[in-house]
Amino acid sequence: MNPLQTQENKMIGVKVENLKKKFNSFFALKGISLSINKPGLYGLIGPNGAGKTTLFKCITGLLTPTEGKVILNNTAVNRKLLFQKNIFGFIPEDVGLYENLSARDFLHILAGLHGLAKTQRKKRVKEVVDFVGIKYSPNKIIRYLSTGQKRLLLIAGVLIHDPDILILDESLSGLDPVVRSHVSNLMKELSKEKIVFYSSHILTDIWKLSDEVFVLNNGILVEHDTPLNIIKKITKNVYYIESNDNEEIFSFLKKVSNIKKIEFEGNKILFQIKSENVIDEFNEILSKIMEKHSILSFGYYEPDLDQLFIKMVSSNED
Amino acid sequence: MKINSRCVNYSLFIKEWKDAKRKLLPITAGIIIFSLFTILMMYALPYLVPDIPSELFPELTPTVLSQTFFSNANNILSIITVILCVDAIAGEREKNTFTLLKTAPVRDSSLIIIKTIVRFLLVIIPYIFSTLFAFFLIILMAGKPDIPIFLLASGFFILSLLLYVCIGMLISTFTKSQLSSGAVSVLVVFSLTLVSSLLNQEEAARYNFLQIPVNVFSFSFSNIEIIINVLLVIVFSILLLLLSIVIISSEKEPT
Repeated sequence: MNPLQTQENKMIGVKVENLKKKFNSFFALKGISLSINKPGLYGLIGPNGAGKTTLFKCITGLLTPTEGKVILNNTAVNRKLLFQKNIFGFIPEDVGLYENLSARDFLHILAGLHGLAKTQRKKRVKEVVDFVGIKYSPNKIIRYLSTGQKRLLLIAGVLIHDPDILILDESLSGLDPVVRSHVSNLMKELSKEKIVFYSSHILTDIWKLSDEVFVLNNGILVEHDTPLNIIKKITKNVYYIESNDNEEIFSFLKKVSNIKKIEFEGNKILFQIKSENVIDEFNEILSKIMEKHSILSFGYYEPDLDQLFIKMVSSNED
Repeated sequence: MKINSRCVNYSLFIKEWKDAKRKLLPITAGIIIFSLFTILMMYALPYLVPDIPSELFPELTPTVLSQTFFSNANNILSIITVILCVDAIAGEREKNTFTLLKTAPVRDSSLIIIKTIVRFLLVIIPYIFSTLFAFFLIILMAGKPDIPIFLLASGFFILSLLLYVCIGMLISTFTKSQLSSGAVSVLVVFSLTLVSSLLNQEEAARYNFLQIPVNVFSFSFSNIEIIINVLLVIVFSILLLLLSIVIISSEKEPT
Protein backbone atom coordinates (compact mmCIF):
# COMPACT_ATOMS: atom_id res chain seq x y z
CA MET A 1 0.00 0.00 0.00
CA ASN A 2 1.36 3.34 -1.00
CA PRO A 3 0.16 6.54 0.71
CA LEU A 4 -0.96 7.80 -2.65
CA GLN A 5 -2.44 4.64 -3.94
CA THR A 6 -6.20 4.49 -4.41
CA GLN A 7 -8.26 1.69 -5.84
CA GLU A 8 -9.13 2.09 -9.47
CA ASN A 9 -12.66 3.15 -10.39
CA LYS A 10 -13.40 4.07 -6.78
CA MET A 11 -15.95 6.85 -6.49
CA ILE A 12 -14.58 9.51 -4.21
CA GLY A 13 -16.41 12.61 -3.24
CA VAL A 14 -17.82 14.91 -0.60
CA LYS A 15 -21.36 16.19 -1.02
CA VAL A 16 -23.02 18.52 1.43
CA GLU A 17 -26.71 19.24 0.97
CA ASN A 18 -28.44 22.16 2.66
CA LEU A 19 -26.44 21.67 5.85
CA LYS A 20 -27.63 23.56 8.90
CA LYS A 21 -26.18 23.39 12.38
CA LYS A 22 -27.74 25.14 15.31
CA PHE A 23 -26.07 25.64 18.70
CA ASN A 24 -28.76 26.71 21.17
CA SER A 25 -30.43 29.55 19.26
CA PHE A 26 -27.42 30.35 17.05
CA PHE A 27 -27.10 28.96 13.54
CA ALA A 28 -23.40 28.22 12.88
CA LEU A 29 -24.24 26.86 9.42
CA LYS A 30 -27.20 28.24 7.52
CA GLY A 31 -27.81 25.83 4.69
CA ILE A 32 -24.47 24.97 3.12
CA SER A 33 -24.41 22.99 -0.11
CA LEU A 34 -21.21 21.97 -1.84
CA SER A 35 -19.93 19.16 -3.94
CA ILE A 36 -16.41 17.88 -4.51
CA ASN A 37 -16.15 14.89 -6.77
CA LYS A 38 -12.57 14.63 -7.93
CA PRO A 39 -9.16 14.56 -6.29
CA GLY A 40 -7.59 17.94 -5.68
CA LEU A 41 -6.81 20.58 -3.13
CA TYR A 42 -9.86 22.42 -1.90
CA GLY A 43 -9.37 25.41 0.35
CA LEU A 44 -11.91 26.72 2.81
CA ILE A 45 -11.54 30.27 4.02
CA GLY A 46 -13.63 32.50 6.21
CA PRO A 47 -13.26 34.81 9.18
CA ASN A 48 -13.21 33.49 12.74
CA GLY A 49 -16.62 32.12 13.63
CA ALA A 50 -17.63 31.67 9.98
CA GLY A 51 -18.40 28.01 10.61
CA LYS A 52 -15.36 26.29 9.04
CA THR A 53 -14.65 23.93 11.93
CA THR A 54 -18.37 23.22 12.37
CA LEU A 55 -18.59 22.31 8.68
CA PHE A 56 -15.60 19.97 8.95
CA LYS A 57 -16.98 18.37 12.10
CA CYS A 58 -20.35 17.81 10.40
CA ILE A 59 -18.62 16.25 7.39
CA THR A 60 -16.67 13.86 9.62
CA GLY A 61 -19.72 12.98 11.71
CA LEU A 62 -18.31 14.52 14.89
CA LEU A 63 -21.29 16.86 14.96
CA THR A 64 -24.83 15.88 14.09
CA PRO A 65 -26.34 18.41 11.65
CA THR A 66 -29.59 20.09 12.63
CA GLU A 67 -30.76 19.77 9.03
CA GLY A 68 -29.39 18.54 5.73
CA LYS A 69 -26.98 15.74 4.98
CA VAL A 70 -23.41 14.90 4.14
CA ILE A 71 -22.48 12.21 1.65
CA LEU A 72 -18.98 10.73 1.55
CA ASN A 73 -18.11 8.41 -1.34
CA ASN A 74 -21.81 7.94 -2.13
CA THR A 75 -22.91 7.01 1.40
CA ALA A 76 -24.67 9.38 3.76
CA VAL A 77 -22.63 10.09 6.88
CA ASN A 78 -23.84 8.05 9.79
CA ARG A 79 -21.82 7.71 12.97
CA LYS A 80 -22.85 4.09 13.34
CA LEU A 81 -21.28 3.08 10.02
CA LEU A 82 -17.82 2.18 11.22
CA PHE A 83 -16.36 1.55 7.75
CA GLN A 84 -17.12 5.17 6.89
CA LYS A 85 -14.51 6.33 9.38
CA ASN A 86 -11.83 4.82 7.18
CA ILE A 87 -12.98 6.88 4.18
CA PHE A 88 -11.65 10.10 5.65
CA GLY A 89 -8.79 11.30 7.77
CA PHE A 90 -9.37 14.38 9.89
CA ILE A 91 -6.89 16.63 11.67
CA PRO A 92 -8.80 19.18 13.75
CA GLU A 93 -7.21 22.49 14.61
CA ASP A 94 -6.85 21.76 18.31
CA VAL A 95 -6.28 18.01 18.25
CA GLY A 96 -4.24 16.52 21.07
CA LEU A 97 -1.77 13.66 20.96
CA TYR A 98 -1.07 10.85 23.40
CA GLU A 99 1.90 12.69 24.83
CA ASN A 100 3.36 9.76 26.76
CA LEU A 101 3.57 7.44 23.78
CA SER A 102 6.52 7.24 21.40
CA ALA A 103 5.94 8.37 17.81
CA ARG A 104 6.21 4.76 16.66
CA ASP A 105 3.70 3.46 19.23
CA PHE A 106 1.32 6.28 18.33
CA LEU A 107 1.35 5.32 14.65
CA HIS A 108 1.06 1.60 15.42
CA ILE A 109 -1.90 2.26 17.71
CA LEU A 110 -3.62 4.49 15.15
CA ALA A 111 -3.08 1.82 12.49
CA GLY A 112 -4.64 -0.75 14.79
CA LEU A 113 -7.52 1.55 15.71
CA HIS A 114 -8.32 1.79 11.99
CA GLY A 115 -8.34 -2.00 11.71
CA LEU A 116 -4.95 -2.69 10.13
CA ALA A 117 -3.79 -6.20 10.94
CA LYS A 118 -0.68 -6.49 13.08
CA THR A 119 1.27 -8.08 10.21
CA GLN A 120 0.66 -5.07 7.93
CA ARG A 121 1.30 -2.35 10.47
CA LYS A 122 5.09 -2.29 10.50
CA LYS A 123 5.30 -1.97 6.72
CA ARG A 124 2.55 0.61 6.58
CA VAL A 125 4.07 2.74 9.35
CA LYS A 126 7.40 2.73 7.52
CA GLU A 127 5.73 3.74 4.24
CA VAL A 128 3.88 6.60 5.84
CA VAL A 129 6.90 7.80 7.85
CA ASP A 130 9.01 7.81 4.66
CA PHE A 131 6.33 9.58 2.65
CA VAL A 132 5.75 12.28 5.24
CA GLY A 133 9.47 12.69 5.77
CA ILE A 134 9.71 12.14 9.51
CA LYS A 135 13.41 12.43 10.20
CA TYR A 136 13.47 12.17 14.00
CA SER A 137 13.81 8.90 15.89
CA PRO A 138 10.45 7.08 16.02
CA ASN A 139 11.25 6.15 19.61
CA LYS A 140 11.06 9.79 20.65
CA ILE A 141 8.28 10.46 23.16
CA ILE A 142 5.61 12.73 21.69
CA ARG A 143 5.73 15.32 24.47
CA TYR A 144 9.35 16.07 23.53
CA LEU A 145 8.53 16.76 19.86
CA SER A 146 8.37 20.28 18.42
CA THR A 147 5.14 21.70 16.96
CA GLY A 148 6.33 20.96 13.43
CA GLN A 149 7.35 17.41 14.33
CA LYS A 150 3.99 16.84 15.98
CA ARG A 151 2.19 18.14 12.89
CA LEU A 152 4.12 15.75 10.64
CA LEU A 153 3.28 12.92 13.02
CA LEU A 154 -0.41 13.82 12.83
CA ILE A 155 -0.26 13.86 9.05
CA ALA A 156 1.41 10.45 9.10
CA GLY A 157 -1.29 9.28 11.51
CA VAL A 158 -4.09 10.51 9.32
CA LEU A 159 -2.62 8.73 6.29
CA ILE A 160 -2.08 5.43 8.06
CA HIS A 161 -5.41 3.95 6.91
CA ASP A 162 -5.05 5.37 3.39
CA PRO A 163 -8.21 7.51 3.40
CA ASP A 164 -9.74 8.91 0.18
CA ILE A 165 -10.61 12.23 1.77
CA LEU A 166 -8.33 14.30 3.96
CA ILE A 167 -9.81 17.07 6.03
CA LEU A 168 -7.26 19.39 7.58
CA ASP A 169 -8.42 22.20 9.82
CA GLU A 170 -5.77 24.92 10.10
CA SER A 171 -3.00 22.42 9.54
CA LEU A 172 -0.59 25.04 8.26
CA SER A 173 -0.98 27.42 11.18
CA GLY A 174 1.77 27.79 13.75
CA LEU A 175 4.46 26.25 11.56
CA ASP A 176 7.75 27.81 10.56
CA PRO A 177 8.15 28.53 6.81
CA VAL A 178 10.30 25.43 6.20
CA VAL A 179 7.81 23.00 7.75
CA ARG A 180 4.87 24.90 6.21
CA SER A 181 6.39 24.57 2.78
CA HIS A 182 7.06 20.86 3.41
CA VAL A 183 3.46 20.28 4.56
CA SER A 184 2.14 22.27 1.57
CA ASN A 185 4.16 20.04 -0.78
CA LEU A 186 2.80 16.94 0.95
CA MET A 187 -0.73 18.22 0.53
CA LYS A 188 -0.12 18.96 -3.13
CA GLU A 189 1.30 15.47 -3.63
CA LEU A 190 -1.62 13.84 -1.82
CA SER A 191 -4.16 15.85 -3.79
CA LYS A 192 -3.20 13.99 -6.98
CA GLU A 193 -5.10 10.94 -5.76
CA LYS A 194 -7.16 12.18 -2.83
CA ILE A 195 -9.53 14.95 -1.97
CA VAL A 196 -7.69 17.31 0.36
CA PHE A 197 -10.17 19.74 1.91
CA TYR A 198 -8.40 22.16 4.20
CA SER A 199 -8.82 25.48 5.92
CA SER A 200 -6.14 28.03 6.66
CA HIS A 201 -5.83 31.58 7.79
CA ILE A 202 -2.73 31.92 5.66
CA LEU A 203 -4.37 33.24 2.51
CA THR A 204 -1.26 33.08 0.34
CA ASP A 205 -1.18 29.32 0.87
CA ILE A 206 -4.86 28.96 0.07
CA TRP A 207 -4.62 30.98 -3.17
CA LYS A 208 -1.34 29.42 -4.23
CA LEU A 209 -2.18 25.79 -3.44
CA SER A 210 -5.90 25.33 -3.95
CA ASP A 211 -7.53 24.05 -7.10
CA GLU A 212 -10.81 25.47 -5.81
CA VAL A 213 -11.64 27.79 -2.96
CA PHE A 214 -14.79 27.89 -0.84
CA VAL A 215 -15.47 31.10 1.06
CA LEU A 216 -17.60 30.82 4.15
CA ASN A 217 -19.00 33.75 6.09
CA ASN A 218 -21.57 33.79 8.88
CA GLY A 219 -22.48 30.18 8.15
CA ILE A 220 -23.16 30.86 4.46
CA LEU A 221 -21.07 29.76 1.48
CA VAL A 222 -20.50 33.09 -0.23
CA GLU A 223 -18.14 32.04 -3.00
CA HIS A 224 -16.86 28.91 -4.69
CA ASP A 225 -14.54 28.93 -7.65
CA THR A 226 -10.93 28.63 -8.68
CA PRO A 227 -8.67 31.21 -6.98
CA LEU A 228 -8.07 32.93 -10.33
CA ASN A 229 -11.77 33.24 -11.13
CA ILE A 230 -12.51 34.62 -7.68
CA ILE A 231 -9.85 37.29 -8.11
CA LYS A 232 -11.23 38.10 -11.56
CA LYS A 233 -14.81 38.33 -10.29
CA ILE A 234 -13.92 40.67 -7.48
CA THR A 235 -11.50 42.85 -9.34
CA LYS A 236 -13.34 42.83 -12.66
CA ASN A 237 -12.82 46.17 -14.37
CA VAL A 238 -11.65 47.79 -11.18
CA TYR A 239 -9.04 50.53 -11.59
CA TYR A 240 -7.30 52.83 -9.16
CA ILE A 241 -6.03 56.36 -9.12
CA GLU A 242 -3.75 57.87 -6.51
CA SER A 243 -3.40 61.61 -6.23
CA ASN A 244 -2.91 64.43 -3.76
CA ASP A 245 -6.38 65.72 -4.79
CA ASN A 246 -8.22 62.55 -3.93
CA GLU A 247 -11.33 64.35 -2.57
CA GLU A 248 -11.88 66.36 -5.76
CA ILE A 249 -11.22 63.34 -7.98
CA PHE A 250 -13.62 61.27 -5.88
CA SER A 251 -16.33 63.90 -6.38
CA PHE A 252 -15.64 63.99 -10.09
CA LEU A 253 -15.78 60.21 -10.44
CA LYS A 254 -19.08 60.09 -8.60
CA LYS A 255 -20.61 62.10 -11.40
CA VAL A 256 -19.36 59.82 -14.19
CA SER A 257 -22.26 57.67 -15.33
CA ASN A 258 -20.22 54.62 -16.37
CA ILE A 259 -18.70 54.13 -12.95
CA LYS A 260 -20.48 51.44 -11.01
CA LYS A 261 -18.71 51.40 -7.70
CA ILE A 262 -16.30 53.84 -6.11
CA GLU A 263 -14.46 53.67 -2.81
CA PHE A 264 -11.29 54.62 -0.99
CA GLU A 265 -8.63 52.07 -0.11
CA GLY A 266 -5.85 53.80 1.77
CA ASN A 267 -4.55 56.59 -0.49
CA LYS A 268 -6.13 55.08 -3.56
CA ILE A 269 -9.52 55.62 -5.14
CA LEU A 270 -10.92 52.39 -6.51
CA PHE A 271 -13.64 52.42 -9.13
CA GLN A 272 -15.33 49.84 -11.26
CA ILE A 273 -16.12 50.75 -14.85
CA LYS A 274 -19.30 49.55 -16.41
CA SER A 275 -18.76 49.82 -20.13
CA GLU A 276 -18.28 47.66 -23.19
CA ASN A 277 -14.98 49.25 -23.93
CA VAL A 278 -13.45 49.51 -20.50
CA ILE A 279 -9.95 50.57 -21.50
CA ASP A 280 -11.16 53.44 -23.69
CA GLU A 281 -13.50 54.52 -20.97
CA PHE A 282 -10.70 54.45 -18.40
CA ASN A 283 -8.40 56.43 -20.71
CA GLU A 284 -11.09 59.04 -21.23
CA ILE A 285 -11.73 59.36 -17.48
CA LEU A 286 -8.02 59.55 -16.82
CA SER A 287 -7.39 62.28 -19.39
CA LYS A 288 -10.25 64.36 -17.96
CA ILE A 289 -8.80 64.07 -14.47
CA MET A 290 -5.27 64.86 -15.64
CA GLU A 291 -6.48 68.11 -17.17
CA LYS A 292 -7.08 69.49 -13.68
CA HIS A 293 -5.11 67.31 -11.24
CA SER A 294 -1.72 65.73 -10.99
CA ILE A 295 -1.78 61.97 -10.55
CA LEU A 296 0.75 59.98 -8.54
CA SER A 297 -0.18 56.54 -9.86
CA PHE A 298 -2.97 54.73 -11.66
CA GLY A 299 -3.69 51.32 -13.13
CA TYR A 300 -5.60 48.07 -12.98
CA TYR A 301 -6.39 47.17 -9.40
CA GLU A 302 -4.70 44.00 -8.10
CA PRO A 303 -5.61 43.66 -4.47
CA ASP A 304 -3.46 41.85 -1.95
CA LEU A 305 -5.01 38.66 -0.69
CA ASP A 306 -6.02 40.05 2.66
CA GLN A 307 -7.88 42.87 0.91
CA LEU A 308 -9.55 40.37 -1.37
CA PHE A 309 -10.64 38.32 1.60
CA ILE A 310 -12.02 41.38 3.38
CA LYS A 311 -13.87 42.37 0.22
CA MET A 312 -15.46 38.97 -0.21
CA VAL A 313 -16.55 38.84 3.39
CA SER A 314 -17.76 42.43 3.58
CA SER A 315 -19.67 42.25 0.28
CA ASN A 316 -21.54 39.33 1.78
CA GLU A 317 -22.30 41.28 4.94
CA ASP A 318 -23.64 44.18 2.86
CA MET B 1 -15.27 -2.40 3.84
CA LYS B 2 -15.44 -4.64 6.90
CA ILE B 3 -13.46 -3.45 9.88
CA ASN B 4 -11.34 -5.93 11.82
CA SER B 5 -12.88 -5.28 15.24
CA ARG B 6 -10.39 -7.52 17.05
CA CYS B 7 -7.52 -5.38 15.78
CA VAL B 8 -9.34 -2.20 16.75
CA ASN B 9 -10.18 -3.42 20.26
CA TYR B 10 -6.70 -4.85 20.85
CA SER B 11 -5.08 -1.56 19.81
CA LEU B 12 -7.43 0.38 22.05
CA PHE B 13 -6.55 -1.92 24.93
CA ILE B 14 -2.81 -1.50 24.28
CA LYS B 15 -3.20 2.28 24.10
CA GLU B 16 -5.08 2.35 27.39
CA TRP B 17 -2.74 -0.10 29.06
CA LYS B 18 0.42 1.77 28.01
CA ASP B 19 -1.00 4.84 29.69
CA ALA B 20 -2.29 3.00 32.76
CA LYS B 21 0.82 0.97 33.51
CA ARG B 22 2.80 4.13 34.28
CA LYS B 23 0.52 4.60 37.27
CA LEU B 24 0.69 0.98 38.39
CA LEU B 25 3.92 1.10 40.40
CA PRO B 26 3.15 4.29 42.37
CA ILE B 27 -0.38 3.10 43.14
CA THR B 28 0.83 -0.35 44.23
CA ALA B 29 3.55 1.15 46.42
CA GLY B 30 1.08 3.64 47.90
CA ILE B 31 -1.50 1.00 48.75
CA ILE B 32 1.09 -1.36 50.27
CA ILE B 33 2.35 1.47 52.49
CA PHE B 34 -1.26 2.20 53.39
CA SER B 35 -1.78 -1.49 54.38
CA LEU B 36 1.32 -1.43 56.53
CA PHE B 37 0.24 1.83 58.14
CA THR B 38 -3.30 0.54 58.78
CA ILE B 39 -2.11 -2.57 60.64
CA LEU B 40 0.74 -0.92 62.53
CA MET B 41 -1.62 1.85 63.66
CA MET B 42 -3.64 -0.72 65.58
CA TYR B 43 -0.54 -1.57 67.58
CA ALA B 44 0.46 2.06 68.00
CA LEU B 45 -2.99 3.25 69.10
CA PRO B 46 -2.61 2.59 72.88
CA TYR B 47 0.66 4.58 72.84
CA LEU B 48 -0.83 7.40 70.78
CA VAL B 49 -3.80 7.88 73.13
CA PRO B 50 -2.45 6.86 76.57
CA ASP B 51 -5.44 8.44 78.42
CA ILE B 52 -7.81 5.71 77.22
CA PRO B 53 -7.70 2.59 79.44
CA SER B 54 -6.08 -0.35 77.66
CA GLU B 55 -9.17 -2.58 78.29
CA LEU B 56 -11.12 -0.46 75.83
CA PHE B 57 -8.80 -1.42 72.99
CA PRO B 58 -9.77 -4.65 71.25
CA GLU B 59 -7.48 -7.61 71.44
CA LEU B 60 -5.47 -7.64 68.21
CA THR B 61 -6.50 -11.03 66.84
CA PRO B 62 -6.02 -11.95 63.14
CA THR B 63 -9.79 -11.36 62.64
CA VAL B 64 -9.69 -7.87 64.15
CA LEU B 65 -6.65 -6.94 62.08
CA SER B 66 -8.21 -8.35 58.90
CA GLN B 67 -11.44 -6.46 59.57
CA THR B 68 -9.48 -3.25 60.19
CA PHE B 69 -7.53 -3.70 56.97
CA PHE B 70 -10.68 -4.28 54.86
CA SER B 71 -12.57 -1.46 56.54
CA ASN B 72 -9.81 1.07 55.83
CA ALA B 73 -9.13 -0.31 52.38
CA ASN B 74 -12.86 -0.01 51.62
CA ASN B 75 -12.87 3.67 52.56
CA ILE B 76 -9.67 4.65 50.80
CA LEU B 77 -9.68 2.43 47.72
CA SER B 78 -13.26 3.35 46.82
CA ILE B 79 -12.30 7.00 46.38
CA ILE B 80 -8.96 6.16 44.70
CA THR B 81 -10.75 3.85 42.26
CA VAL B 82 -13.34 6.40 41.21
CA ILE B 83 -10.70 9.13 40.87
CA LEU B 84 -8.55 6.86 38.69
CA CYS B 85 -11.45 6.70 36.25
CA VAL B 86 -11.97 10.44 35.83
CA ASP B 87 -9.52 10.63 32.93
CA ALA B 88 -11.21 7.82 30.98
CA ILE B 89 -13.49 10.00 28.85
CA ALA B 90 -13.35 13.45 30.49
CA GLY B 91 -9.53 13.36 30.23
CA GLU B 92 -9.68 12.50 26.52
CA ARG B 93 -12.07 15.40 25.97
CA GLU B 94 -9.89 17.78 27.96
CA LYS B 95 -6.69 16.83 26.11
CA ASN B 96 -8.52 16.94 22.75
CA THR B 97 -7.55 13.37 22.00
CA PHE B 98 -11.15 12.17 21.92
CA THR B 99 -11.35 13.17 18.24
CA LEU B 100 -8.70 10.54 17.43
CA LEU B 101 -10.96 7.87 18.92
CA LYS B 102 -14.23 9.24 17.56
CA THR B 103 -12.86 9.38 14.01
CA ALA B 104 -11.56 5.81 14.23
CA PRO B 105 -13.88 2.84 13.71
CA VAL B 106 -14.19 2.13 17.43
CA ARG B 107 -17.59 1.08 18.77
CA ASP B 108 -18.85 3.15 21.68
CA SER B 109 -19.52 -0.04 23.62
CA SER B 110 -15.94 -1.28 23.03
CA LEU B 111 -14.59 2.09 24.08
CA ILE B 112 -16.39 2.00 27.42
CA ILE B 113 -15.80 -1.69 28.11
CA ILE B 114 -12.07 -1.61 27.28
CA LYS B 115 -11.49 1.53 29.30
CA THR B 116 -13.38 -0.11 32.20
CA ILE B 117 -11.31 -3.31 31.97
CA VAL B 118 -8.03 -1.39 31.97
CA ARG B 119 -9.03 0.74 34.95
CA PHE B 120 -10.27 -2.34 36.78
CA LEU B 121 -6.88 -3.98 36.19
CA LEU B 122 -5.17 -0.81 37.32
CA VAL B 123 -7.02 -1.07 40.63
CA ILE B 124 -7.06 -4.80 41.30
CA ILE B 125 -3.36 -5.42 40.62
CA PRO B 126 -2.24 -3.04 43.42
CA TYR B 127 -5.10 -4.31 45.56
CA ILE B 128 -4.00 -7.96 45.20
CA PHE B 129 -0.42 -7.06 46.10
CA SER B 130 -1.49 -5.01 49.09
CA THR B 131 -3.88 -7.74 50.31
CA LEU B 132 -1.13 -10.34 50.05
CA PHE B 133 1.16 -8.01 51.93
CA ALA B 134 -1.50 -7.41 54.61
CA PHE B 135 -2.18 -11.15 54.84
CA PHE B 136 1.45 -12.00 55.53
CA LEU B 137 1.84 -9.06 57.87
CA ILE B 138 -1.17 -10.23 59.90
CA ILE B 139 0.33 -13.75 60.07
CA LEU B 140 3.60 -12.22 61.23
CA MET B 141 2.03 -9.95 63.84
CA ALA B 142 -0.98 -11.90 65.17
CA GLY B 143 -1.24 -15.32 63.59
CA LYS B 144 -3.06 -16.94 60.70
CA PRO B 145 -6.46 -15.40 59.86
CA ASP B 146 -9.47 -17.51 58.80
CA ILE B 147 -8.47 -18.10 55.16
CA PRO B 148 -11.98 -18.81 53.67
CA ILE B 149 -13.35 -15.65 55.30
CA PHE B 150 -10.30 -13.65 54.19
CA LEU B 151 -10.75 -14.92 50.62
CA LEU B 152 -14.48 -14.15 50.69
CA ALA B 153 -13.77 -10.62 51.89
CA SER B 154 -11.12 -10.19 49.17
CA GLY B 155 -13.46 -11.52 46.48
CA PHE B 156 -16.23 -9.17 47.53
CA PHE B 157 -13.82 -6.34 47.73
CA ILE B 158 -12.70 -6.95 44.14
CA LEU B 159 -16.36 -6.99 43.06
CA SER B 160 -17.08 -3.75 44.88
CA LEU B 161 -14.03 -2.24 43.13
CA LEU B 162 -15.65 -3.18 39.81
CA LEU B 163 -18.74 -1.29 40.89
CA TYR B 164 -16.65 1.76 41.82
CA VAL B 165 -14.86 1.60 38.45
CA CYS B 166 -18.24 1.57 36.71
CA ILE B 167 -19.37 4.55 38.81
CA GLY B 168 -16.17 6.41 37.84
CA MET B 169 -16.65 5.57 34.18
CA LEU B 170 -20.21 6.88 34.20
CA ILE B 171 -19.13 10.13 35.86
CA SER B 172 -16.27 10.53 33.38
CA THR B 173 -18.66 9.98 30.48
CA PHE B 174 -21.03 12.79 31.29
CA THR B 175 -18.54 15.36 32.57
CA LYS B 176 -16.47 17.58 30.30
CA SER B 177 -13.33 18.00 32.38
CA GLN B 178 -11.25 15.96 34.79
CA LEU B 179 -11.76 18.54 37.51
CA SER B 180 -15.54 18.39 37.38
CA SER B 181 -15.35 14.62 37.03
CA GLY B 182 -13.15 14.43 40.14
CA ALA B 183 -15.43 16.72 42.13
CA VAL B 184 -18.55 14.71 41.23
CA SER B 185 -16.69 11.47 42.03
CA VAL B 186 -15.74 12.61 45.53
CA LEU B 187 -19.32 13.69 46.20
CA VAL B 188 -20.77 10.42 44.93
CA VAL B 189 -18.35 8.20 46.87
CA PHE B 190 -18.90 10.10 50.12
CA SER B 191 -22.66 9.85 49.65
CA LEU B 192 -22.42 6.12 48.94
CA THR B 193 -20.18 5.56 51.97
CA LEU B 194 -22.63 7.48 54.14
CA VAL B 195 -25.64 5.56 52.85
CA SER B 196 -23.92 2.18 53.18
CA SER B 197 -22.84 3.06 56.76
CA LEU B 198 -26.42 3.97 57.66
CA LEU B 199 -27.69 0.76 56.11
CA ASN B 200 -25.17 -1.34 57.99
CA GLN B 201 -27.61 -2.39 60.71
CA GLU B 202 -29.59 -5.53 61.40
CA GLU B 203 -31.06 -7.30 58.36
CA ALA B 204 -30.09 -4.57 55.89
CA ALA B 205 -26.42 -5.24 56.67
CA ARG B 206 -26.73 -8.68 55.05
CA TYR B 207 -27.48 -7.07 51.67
CA ASN B 208 -25.31 -4.01 52.10
CA PHE B 209 -22.95 -5.19 49.39
CA LEU B 210 -20.49 -2.33 49.77
CA GLN B 211 -19.81 -3.31 53.39
CA ILE B 212 -19.69 -7.09 52.91
CA PRO B 213 -15.85 -7.28 52.94
CA VAL B 214 -15.99 -5.87 56.49
CA ASN B 215 -19.19 -7.58 57.62
CA VAL B 216 -18.04 -11.10 56.75
CA PHE B 217 -15.77 -10.91 59.80
CA SER B 218 -18.71 -9.97 62.08
CA PHE B 219 -21.38 -12.47 61.11
CA SER B 220 -21.79 -15.45 58.84
CA PHE B 221 -23.57 -15.26 55.50
CA SER B 222 -25.60 -18.02 53.92
CA ASN B 223 -24.77 -19.12 50.37
CA ILE B 224 -28.00 -17.52 49.10
CA GLU B 225 -27.10 -14.20 50.71
CA ILE B 226 -23.66 -14.34 49.11
CA ILE B 227 -25.12 -15.12 45.69
CA ILE B 228 -27.68 -12.30 46.03
CA ASN B 229 -24.96 -9.82 46.97
CA VAL B 230 -22.73 -10.95 44.09
CA LEU B 231 -25.64 -10.60 41.67
CA LEU B 232 -26.53 -7.18 43.05
CA VAL B 233 -22.99 -5.87 42.46
CA ILE B 234 -22.80 -7.38 38.96
CA VAL B 235 -26.24 -6.09 37.94
CA PHE B 236 -25.50 -2.58 39.22
CA SER B 237 -22.13 -2.60 37.44
CA ILE B 238 -23.68 -3.72 34.15
CA LEU B 239 -26.44 -1.10 34.45
CA LEU B 240 -23.86 1.63 35.03
CA LEU B 241 -21.82 0.45 32.05
CA LEU B 242 -24.91 0.36 29.83
CA LEU B 243 -25.82 3.84 30.94
CA SER B 244 -22.31 5.06 30.07
CA ILE B 245 -22.58 3.47 26.62
CA VAL B 246 -26.00 5.03 26.02
CA ILE B 247 -24.73 8.47 27.07
CA ILE B 248 -21.68 8.31 24.84
CA SER B 249 -23.62 6.98 21.85
CA SER B 250 -26.31 9.61 22.06
CA GLU B 251 -24.00 12.61 22.35
CA LYS B 252 -24.53 15.13 19.56
CA GLU B 253 -21.28 16.95 20.25
CA PRO B 254 -18.84 14.34 21.54
CA THR B 255 -15.63 16.34 21.11
